[in-house]
Amino acid sequence: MSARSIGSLLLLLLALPVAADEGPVCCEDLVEGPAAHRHDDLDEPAPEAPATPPAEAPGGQAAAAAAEKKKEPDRWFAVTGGDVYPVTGPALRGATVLARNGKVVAIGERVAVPAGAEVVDARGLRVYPGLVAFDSSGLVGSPPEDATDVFGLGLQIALASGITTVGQGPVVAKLTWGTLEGHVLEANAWLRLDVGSGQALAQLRGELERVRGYLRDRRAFEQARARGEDVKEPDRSWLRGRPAQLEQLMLGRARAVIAASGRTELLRVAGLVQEYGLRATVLGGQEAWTVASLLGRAGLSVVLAPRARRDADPQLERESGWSIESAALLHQAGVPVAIVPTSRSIGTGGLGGNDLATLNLEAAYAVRGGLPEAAALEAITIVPARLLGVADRVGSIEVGKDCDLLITDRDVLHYEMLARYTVVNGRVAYDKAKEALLRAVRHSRDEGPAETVPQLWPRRPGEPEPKMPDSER
Amino acid sequence: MTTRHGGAALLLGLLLVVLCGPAPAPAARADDPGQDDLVAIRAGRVITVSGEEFAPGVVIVRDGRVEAVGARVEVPRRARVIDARDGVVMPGFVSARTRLGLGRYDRGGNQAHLSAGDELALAEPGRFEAALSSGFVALGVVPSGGGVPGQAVAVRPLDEAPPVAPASGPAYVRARLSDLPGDKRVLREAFKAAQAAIDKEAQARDEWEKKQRAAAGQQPGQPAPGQPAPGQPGQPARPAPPPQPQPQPPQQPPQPQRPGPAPGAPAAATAPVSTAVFVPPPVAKNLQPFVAWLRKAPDAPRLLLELGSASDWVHLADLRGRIELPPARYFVSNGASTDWHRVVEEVGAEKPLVLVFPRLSFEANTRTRVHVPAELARAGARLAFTPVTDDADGYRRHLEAAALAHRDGVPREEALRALTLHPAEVLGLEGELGAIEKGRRADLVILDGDPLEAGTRVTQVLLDGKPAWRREGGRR
Amino acid sequence: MRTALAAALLVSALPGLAFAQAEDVVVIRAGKVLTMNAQDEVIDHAVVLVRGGKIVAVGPADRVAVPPGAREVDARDAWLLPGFIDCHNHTAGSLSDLNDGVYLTNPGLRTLDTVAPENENLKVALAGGVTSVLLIPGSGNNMAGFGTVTRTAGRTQADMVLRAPGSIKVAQAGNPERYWFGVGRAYMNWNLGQTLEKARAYHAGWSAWEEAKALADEGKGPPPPPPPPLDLAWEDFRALFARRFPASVHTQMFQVVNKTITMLGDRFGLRVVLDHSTFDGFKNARLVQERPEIVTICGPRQYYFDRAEGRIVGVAARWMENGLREVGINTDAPVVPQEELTLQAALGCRLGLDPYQALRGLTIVPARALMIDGALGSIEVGKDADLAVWTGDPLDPRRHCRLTIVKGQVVYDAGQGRRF
Repeated sequence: MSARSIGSLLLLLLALPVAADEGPVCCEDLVEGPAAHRHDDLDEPAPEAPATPPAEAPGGQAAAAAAEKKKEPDRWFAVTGGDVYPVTGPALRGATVLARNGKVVAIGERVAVPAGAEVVDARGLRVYPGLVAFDSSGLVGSPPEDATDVFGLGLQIALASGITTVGQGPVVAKLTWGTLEGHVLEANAWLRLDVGSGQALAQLRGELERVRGYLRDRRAFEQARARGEDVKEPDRSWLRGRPAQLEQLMLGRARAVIAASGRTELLRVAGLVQEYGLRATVLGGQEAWTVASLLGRAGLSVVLAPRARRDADPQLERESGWSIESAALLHQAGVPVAIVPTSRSIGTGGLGGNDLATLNLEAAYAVRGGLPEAAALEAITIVPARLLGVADRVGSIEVGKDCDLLITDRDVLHYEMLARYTVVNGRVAYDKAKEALLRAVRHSRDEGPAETVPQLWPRRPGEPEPKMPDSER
Repeated sequence: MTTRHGGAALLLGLLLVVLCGPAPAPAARADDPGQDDLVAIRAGRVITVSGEEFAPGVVIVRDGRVEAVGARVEVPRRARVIDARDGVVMPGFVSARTRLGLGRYDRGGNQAHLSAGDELALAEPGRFEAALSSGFVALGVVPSGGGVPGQAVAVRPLDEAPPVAPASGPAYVRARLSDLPGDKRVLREAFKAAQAAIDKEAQARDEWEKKQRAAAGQQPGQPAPGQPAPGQPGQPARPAPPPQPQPQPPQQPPQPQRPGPAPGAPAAATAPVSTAVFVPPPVAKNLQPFVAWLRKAPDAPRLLLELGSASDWVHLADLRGRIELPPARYFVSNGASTDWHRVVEEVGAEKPLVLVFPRLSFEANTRTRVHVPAELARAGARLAFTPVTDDADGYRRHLEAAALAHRDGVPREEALRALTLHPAEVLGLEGELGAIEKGRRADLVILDGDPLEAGTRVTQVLLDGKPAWRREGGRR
Repeated sequence: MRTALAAALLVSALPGLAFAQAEDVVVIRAGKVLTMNAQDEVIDHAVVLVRGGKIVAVGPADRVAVPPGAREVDARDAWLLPGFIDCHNHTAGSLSDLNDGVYLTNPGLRTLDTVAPENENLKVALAGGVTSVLLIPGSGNNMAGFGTVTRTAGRTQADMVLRAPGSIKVAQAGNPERYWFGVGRAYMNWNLGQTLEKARAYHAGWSAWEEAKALADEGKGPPPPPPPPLDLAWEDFRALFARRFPASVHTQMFQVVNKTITMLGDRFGLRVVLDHSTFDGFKNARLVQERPEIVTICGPRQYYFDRAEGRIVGVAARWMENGLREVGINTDAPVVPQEELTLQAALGCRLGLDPYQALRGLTIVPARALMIDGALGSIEVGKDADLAVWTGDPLDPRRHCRLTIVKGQVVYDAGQGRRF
């Protein structure tokens, strides 16, 4: 047996999880169990998608008719033959995702693709929803609609990493490569509250009390008026700017984000949101695992970086500091968890592993801490989408949602995962084979010849110049 | 012979030209006051740019304008002859966007009413010398800053910077879309405010008409409402007061510089009878160009939009989706590292007039060469070259840069136009400059070789057919 | 007297041997054993038998006889690998004595004196399955002193230290350019060469004297001259020139790596470890290929953004594509936390490094680089039982290190107060 064949055998062994591994359920397992008897359910186009072209008439006169109204022809886009992992539903093997004008209109094995549709052949590949980064820095402009470099390097690296939607502060933007169409998803996803100090908390309470007082007076006024009494309407002239935002918050129409790391702050947050009935998300939460059930009861969600370290306090009897198991423990306590890396930007300096380029590996670290793989995938897709208030648009592959996809040849949480294609709004925003960025990266199990590498010195006299693969453009 | 001496001689020559007019030549009849000023240029080759080339060729200039051009044009006996039989005559070069000789005086926000012309008095003498001696006959001087810094003026490269065409108004309004998000915000808000001004006027007009009708309705036997009140005999003696107070001092008086079609129109329609006149509410000066653009006024100023990168082009498309922008010329800032190649097809598809540096670039983050002007021309854009650096050196190297751009893929015709006719068009002077045609200004340049061969030098520059600069010393 | 001193300086030439534990027997049952031996053997359902801290048997469960009374480590649902070795560590010391900035070259200094057992910064290494590191001074100096090869577990220095000096630390360009007013590469190369020439002269003087003395002792020569004066600044270099330990060189970028190979390797004949080896250092792959003794270790930068081609290049993968047979991986801890050594390897794989080669780069390759491969770096009979039990592929962040074993003793158990 040659060394090479031993090597490939080893690779095969390495690729497979240990049979006896008691580890959490793999994403692959999703395919087998429940999906097997659900395939047929999704064969037919979903009823809520009336525009789905009939199977016998691809290309569709229906489409043409719809186009006449809008004057612009429908833009069809399909990803065919891939294993589709919708996140909010069972996986489908060899299925097609069809989108019209950027929206998913059908998912299934026997979806007919209209003529003229742009088609990505995903046979042998996996299709996930584009990843959602709850927080980011420097990928899109500020504000995105006026300042994003739609050909920016960071933006492209994020796409190559499978990310299609990012929060930047309370603004939520999609990584629309080369276009601003559909770029901004939500201009004001949340309101920041500060409980970082006792003083800040006292001030916040004061503001909330005032709004609460107004809401109470308002209710009393409405009741009195309903009884026909002649009462004076409470003054709301001061409810502008921040007080107005707080009012929305207290009415449950908005969501707050509160940075809190230590147990004391977290308890403050829990008390506050329960007292005022706020919908809030904790950002940071290194010690959240120590008060997980309490946060769960308070209805809080947590955005955390599994490796954001905080040393345990040796003075304390109780649990303190960070834990790799944070995400898992919070998940068990019913707290929705979204995952971000410790650095929210993307660098090109060479030190990797902690920024948005490896958002998927950050989620993998949560799996290391015991979070089920399915929940880890949710933590970088549908959960942040919900916390940003854009789950009706992104975060899963569903009929009616935006066609934002990560198409790759690896499990999304695998360390070799790079996007083969990234799709945003039903357009290929990144194609690994076309962009210079990672075109030359070839994994040991990939098929086809490696790209010639011209960078080797010193070259011997008379040695031919290596072929430059990039010069043929 | 040092450069210093050469410079002094050159200055002296220039002074002589300015003080004494054309150098005495055998054919000159300066003492003949009753005659037209007639000049004939005999050239080894005449490149007309707009038409064919003649080798050899003759250009006849009467009173500073081209009278005739061709291979077999008869030279009038009394014409003063300029002998360029071993040279090439072509239209003088035009630089459509420059701050040559001017210091930094950055303005922010929307300053569309300010003109660079007001800065010219501050500039130092001799500031345009490099431009003139490099064959330039017109410069579009721009105000500096972000957002909408103001209006450009077209001047000749002489110390007193005389306007090329005195009555032509601003050459264009300079607007930037390269420093985001500020520039985009400035533009969007200016258009928004202009739209508000238009709406306000429409509302004021409605109210005014209502009042007119109401006043008319008090009279018995009035025509049905909706008929115009003015022109009716027997109008009430008390005219309706204007609905808005009179303009504030910093604002524009009711008579705008370039009245749009709407204001004042009712006044013209009124009968000689003393009657109420609708006075439109004043529009801030810096919004007037925007109002004119939105109204698609025929006399609205030209717009030069400056874009830094491919992404700016996408942002421009985004703005277009929200606002009906006027047709614009673009300045594509193609740096040493550029990503313009990403949108070159989209830009070219518009067949726009594009101001661009004649230079070779690298695609951003790579060592892959890309020639943005060549790519733009291939995609359909019309090029206007602007000196790569906006200083004396940039002007001196401009012709050679154009030659290299031709070598690197810009077609010959396009390169010649990019030096002359197209930048003239950016300045709104396309009927005036940029080509050797009957009726155009005889602002010409004489070269010692083909303009698109590297190494060719300017030997003489003529303004209005008169020598304005001449290279001292030997030829190549 | 000199011999005694030399013996004291060289704490242990044969690591592990001097500090073997009592004769207790441990049997480790593993779902999969990656031996990382020369035959690349991977054994499923295997048993590793440890006696006195050393491996005495490795094989499939049904072929290894387990003596009665052996202590059992049950890892039948897990993978067993050699403990990982990091060639570039700064955290085994106090972290406050990284760079002694008085002189640009500090030939006399040693990190041995700073090794801190029970060091909190180092303890975390065990959670990442890292059992040995080369503690070296920072790269603020051109030549910063002698490194120490040490285990990451142990109660005393003697318990921990595998070899001291373990390397001479050299930093070529990069960081030392920021030394005081800034030092250019030309001066640094001259200065380094000068220092090494002096050291070589010292070594040559003593070697000549020793030869003469040996001949005289055997009665084959005249009485030797008086020995050269002893100089502690140069004494440690004798073992370096005798190639008993390598020069570990902070080197990156084509020109600098090139100079490291040609100066330290070719001109001075040293064993060379190319630490970092990042940016476009991989263009030197052919030079390294032709000098099999030189070992390339990549990290902590696992990629290089190539501004000439507009692309991200996996540094380790590119060294391999350019012809190397193996590369090691380092963290430069605390630049990258010591326990994330496996993540460094995984990032290399993300950009094209073969996963099995990455695992070699964590085990046998750095062992060979530090010349401790006789005792560590693979699971083979006769080697020290420095091992780690992983819940799966160690490169996969989803899997974790469950147990770390040093000299047959469990020194880290993720089941107790796990944080990593």
